[in-house]
Amino acid sequence: MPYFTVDGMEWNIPCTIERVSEVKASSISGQLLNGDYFNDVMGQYLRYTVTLVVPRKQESEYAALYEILTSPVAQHEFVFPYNQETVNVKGRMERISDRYIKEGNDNLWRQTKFEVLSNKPKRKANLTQAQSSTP
Amino acid sequence: MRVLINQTEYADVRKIDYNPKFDLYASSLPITQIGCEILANEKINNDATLKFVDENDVVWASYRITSVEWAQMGVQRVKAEPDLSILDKTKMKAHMYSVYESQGSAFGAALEDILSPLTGRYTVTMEVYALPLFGFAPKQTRRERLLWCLFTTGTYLAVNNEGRLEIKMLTATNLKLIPIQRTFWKPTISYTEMVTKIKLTAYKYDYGEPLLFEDYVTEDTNEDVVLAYGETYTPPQSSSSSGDSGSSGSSSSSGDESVGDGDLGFSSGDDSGSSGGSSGDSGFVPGDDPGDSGGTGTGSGGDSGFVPGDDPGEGGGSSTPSGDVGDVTSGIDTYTQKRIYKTYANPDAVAGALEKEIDIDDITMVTPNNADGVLARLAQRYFNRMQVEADIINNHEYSPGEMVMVYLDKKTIAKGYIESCNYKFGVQARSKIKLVNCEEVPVSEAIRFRYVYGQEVIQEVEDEFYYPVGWEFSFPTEWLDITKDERRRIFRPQSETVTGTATTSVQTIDIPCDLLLDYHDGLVHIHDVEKLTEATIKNEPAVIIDYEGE
Repeated sequence: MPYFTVDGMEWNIPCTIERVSEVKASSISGQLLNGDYFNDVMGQYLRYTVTLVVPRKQESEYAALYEILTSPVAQHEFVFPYNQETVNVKGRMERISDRYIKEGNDNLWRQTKFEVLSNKPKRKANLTQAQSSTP
Repeated sequence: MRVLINQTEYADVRKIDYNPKFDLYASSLPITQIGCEILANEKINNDATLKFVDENDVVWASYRITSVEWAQMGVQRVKAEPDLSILDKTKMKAHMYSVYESQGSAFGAALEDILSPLTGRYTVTMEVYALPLFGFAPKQTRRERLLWCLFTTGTYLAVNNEGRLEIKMLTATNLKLIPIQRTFWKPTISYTEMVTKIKLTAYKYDYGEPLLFEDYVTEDTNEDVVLAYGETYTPPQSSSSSGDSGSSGSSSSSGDESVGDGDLGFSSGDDSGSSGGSSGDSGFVPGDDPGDSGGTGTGSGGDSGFVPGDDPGEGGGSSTPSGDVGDVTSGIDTYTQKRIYKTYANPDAVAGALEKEIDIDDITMVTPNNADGVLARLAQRYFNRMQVEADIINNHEYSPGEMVMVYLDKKTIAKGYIESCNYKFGVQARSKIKLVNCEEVPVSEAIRFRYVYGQEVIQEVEDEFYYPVGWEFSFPTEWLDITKDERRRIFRPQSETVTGTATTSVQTIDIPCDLLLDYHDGLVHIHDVEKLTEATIKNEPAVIIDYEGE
């Protein structure tokens, strides 16, 4: 099973994947007259941060991955691990960075790190539930 | 929010612009528009109905699409509005509703004519149907005619969720209190400019001599009336047409009407905004384009020579008191017109206050029969200066036209009519409501709630609650799960809500509870198993050794 997939390209080389769930609220949230805070939660959004370790022989695969990740499109389709399963994430690239190292005649790129933020919530807030908590 | 257009659902909707308005005193008939951007690649049909629906399938509005344009690739900007704007597209001929003081023309019958382009798409209550109409209406659009009728009868127009027009009496029934838990920090109060005096011109008509239809000659005399409400106003000196035509036309009111909230439309100018795709709250102008009013006395300041016939260029220009105007060609009914001035001084205006007069003199359907009512409503509008703006959580529970009460702070409550709702959408909806004609309401002393089990007070609710005096409140209770000194007990209130009436004295209201579970020293005592949930039992690891329930 690949570590992750982006736009159909599987990445099978070991890497570190950090997962952050963001419970986002809408802009109508705010302070109420009784002192409570009204939090209009929209849903759970996923943010994945991936740190790659690229072996010397895998430079060409890395170059292909880099081109996909940096392509100027609104969103990519990722498959990431999620608990004991995987999750499909339509997300946008927030940032990608790496560092250039020259070893002999080889141009190497190391310490690659990129962040993906899901465009749609994995779990969306439900209006009925939200209303039930409002007097 | 979702959008349905001819049964096709669009879930990707953004930039929703929905700010319904309400015209409390028939000073304009604002047209609420919905604007939104819809993500769709196929061109949206611009000859369809747009339904604005929330996730629970509650229809917020159902309007006719007026325009669709591409905002960008894959994104279309759609605007829709209720049928009201259809009434701008055609004009009605001049009509004399009634010259009699005791018998008016039925509003309901007039509505059938005014709203004929919307047959079957409006509702009128029997009470409104029977209201009498008096006086004369010049040639004007259907929307303008409707506005005059509403203005003189004290009725109002609402557009319901399905886009259907409803004409109702202005009564504050089913007064709602917006809970403090739904009100954002913090409502603001403002006051409109002080109006010291309202002057209203009423028109009294009598039959004149039949003349050939081109002999547009009538007499026009002024009559000063001793007023019921306050000071006597001295009218212009002459009844001659040339002498007072300038002051009695719409020009005199145009300046005055710019004060206050600025939306009153009894002034010059046209209402192109309503049909032209703007926000639709531009002022309606009963006077209409002077060029359209023909020989009538209301348009171009020509109070002289009033003849209720139509534009001579359109069908003969004659009229009968009750028949179709302009159908009689052999002769013409003419009427004499008297103007009666009524003023109402603001009792709150202190001596020496800067004078600010509202002068409404161009509504010829204001007659001695209805002038007092009109004047009273105008006074209510202009002399009651307090306005409130409040941000509230509003999932379509509070709509323009309703009278509501809103907390200004924890211990102060005001009531007023919702004039507008400016919506923002998240999962729920928030709207900035503007209340007009506001006044503070008496508020109760603090009400405290405490949960009791036998003689034991288990818990007191920290907040103190304040309600309008006389308000029948309903406080939701909740289960209590209390652990103290390594003893855990679960209590359930005997009722899901506790109710009472707010009074001017401090109240402490007990909420009796049952003990459901008592866990201490590793033992669980279940007192009423029927009242425990499965989850509660599973969460208790101890062995149940005592059981007192059935």
